[in-house]
Order: sequence, then C-alpha cells, then structure tokens
Amino acid sequence: MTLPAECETALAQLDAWRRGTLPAEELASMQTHLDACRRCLSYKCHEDALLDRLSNAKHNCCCPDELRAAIMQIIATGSRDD
Amino acid sequence: MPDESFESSALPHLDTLYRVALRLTGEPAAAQDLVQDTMLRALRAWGSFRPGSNARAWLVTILRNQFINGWRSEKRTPVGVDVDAIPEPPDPKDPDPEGRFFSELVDDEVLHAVDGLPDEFREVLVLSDMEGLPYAEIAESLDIPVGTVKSRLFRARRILQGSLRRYAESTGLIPPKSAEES
Repeated sequence: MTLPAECETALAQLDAWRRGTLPAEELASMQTHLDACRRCLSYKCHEDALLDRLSNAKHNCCCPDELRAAIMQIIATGSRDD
Repeated sequence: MPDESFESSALPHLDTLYRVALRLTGEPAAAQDLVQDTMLRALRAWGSFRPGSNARAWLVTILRNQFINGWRSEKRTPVGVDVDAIPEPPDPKDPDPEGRFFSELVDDEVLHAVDGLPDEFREVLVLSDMEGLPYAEIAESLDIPVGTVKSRLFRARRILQGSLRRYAESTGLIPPKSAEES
C-alpha cells in the first residue's frame, strides 16, 4: 500500500511532534492533517497507545537490590585499589 | 581523573542499565552479570571519560559492546520474524481504531513481544520508547547515524504492533480482521 504524500509526511513527523521539536508552522499543518485523515489519526492513536504501554512496562522493572549491592562493592574495591 | 566521581555519575543509571541488559539477554541472572561486567569495565575506564559528556550514553555503549563481544548467543536470535513484512498502518475500518487493546495486555505479554524483535530493532526501541533516550544519544550509544535510529525505530514499532495485534486477536481481546479488510 502506498500512502498519499501528505500522510507520509505527517507520519514521519509524529515523533518530532511528540517530543515537542516540530516547528510551529509544521505543527499547525500536522494538526490540520490529523483532524481530516482518519487513517493517520488511527495510526497516531495506535502508536500513542503502544508507547504508553511500553513506558508503563518499564516502571515495574528496576535494578535488584543484590545487584546494586554488588556494584557498590565493585566501586568500593576499585576505590581502595586507586 | 575527572572531577565528577564515578559513583555519582554512574549509579543514577543502574535501573536503565539493568532494564537494557534484561531486554538484551532475556534472562535476569545474565542481565545482572552483564551489568556487573559493564560497571567493572566502566570503573577501570573512568579515567578516559570526558567530564561533562553524557555518562548514560557512555555506560550504554560499554554495556552494548560487552553484550556483543561476550554475551550474545545464537539462542537470542529471534525466529519467525520477517522484518520485511512490516504490517500496514491501521485503517479506518480497524475494529479498535484507538488501539485500546494495548492497555489490556499485561507487562509479560508486552515484554515477550519486545524480546522477539531482532537485536538491531530491539535495542533502538528499548532505548527510545522504554528508556526515553533522545535520538542523538541512541545514535552515540549504538554508533549509528540518527537517520538509522529513526528508520529502525519506525520498523521496530510496526513489527511490535503487528505482533501484539496478532496476540490480541488470538486471545480474543479484539476481533480478527476479516479477509477483505486485511
């Protein structure tokens, strides 16, 4: 499937839009396109939902205490060797 | 020796290093060993760290190099992932146009799908979409151009969406697309 050029442009700019790095004039045309194009809006919604899910998944995983303790031991040993 | 201490520069990034290691190795024990090796190597190389540069990117680079040189095993190579068969964007007839099914998935299902991505896509997706690193920092860590980061990220997300959609369809979270819709 080949997307229209304006859709390709909008989808390519989605990340910049999310990260707040899209120039103001392109921001306006992006919003106008999303208001009019159901396919791109659906694409954006799916990607937003995926990114939200991935971000949430990381919060339930952090460095185990035993690993942190082992690292502290490595640092302490390294400092004594200096 | 830089003015910054190794401890104050490196320890804030332990959670990130562990999560990245876990996604690279796929095993908690191996991830712990990889992070320990990374920190040991980083401590020894601390004298070469440029003060004021990005410690997180420096540590991720060391971790990834350690993984590539000593940890990557054949069994981590995903099977059954056709990276050329990128799923198409959802269309207006999609039974779940807002992607609500993603929020119904539990962490293990999402992470299992992430683990199924080929290495070069998985590492970019983890660093960007799970750890929130900027493109430039990912490019520096992986020693690839920013444009490559963007293209791999695009493909990684599409493969992952396809994988999670198939899972959601197979478990009844969303109805399968009919033949004429797909």
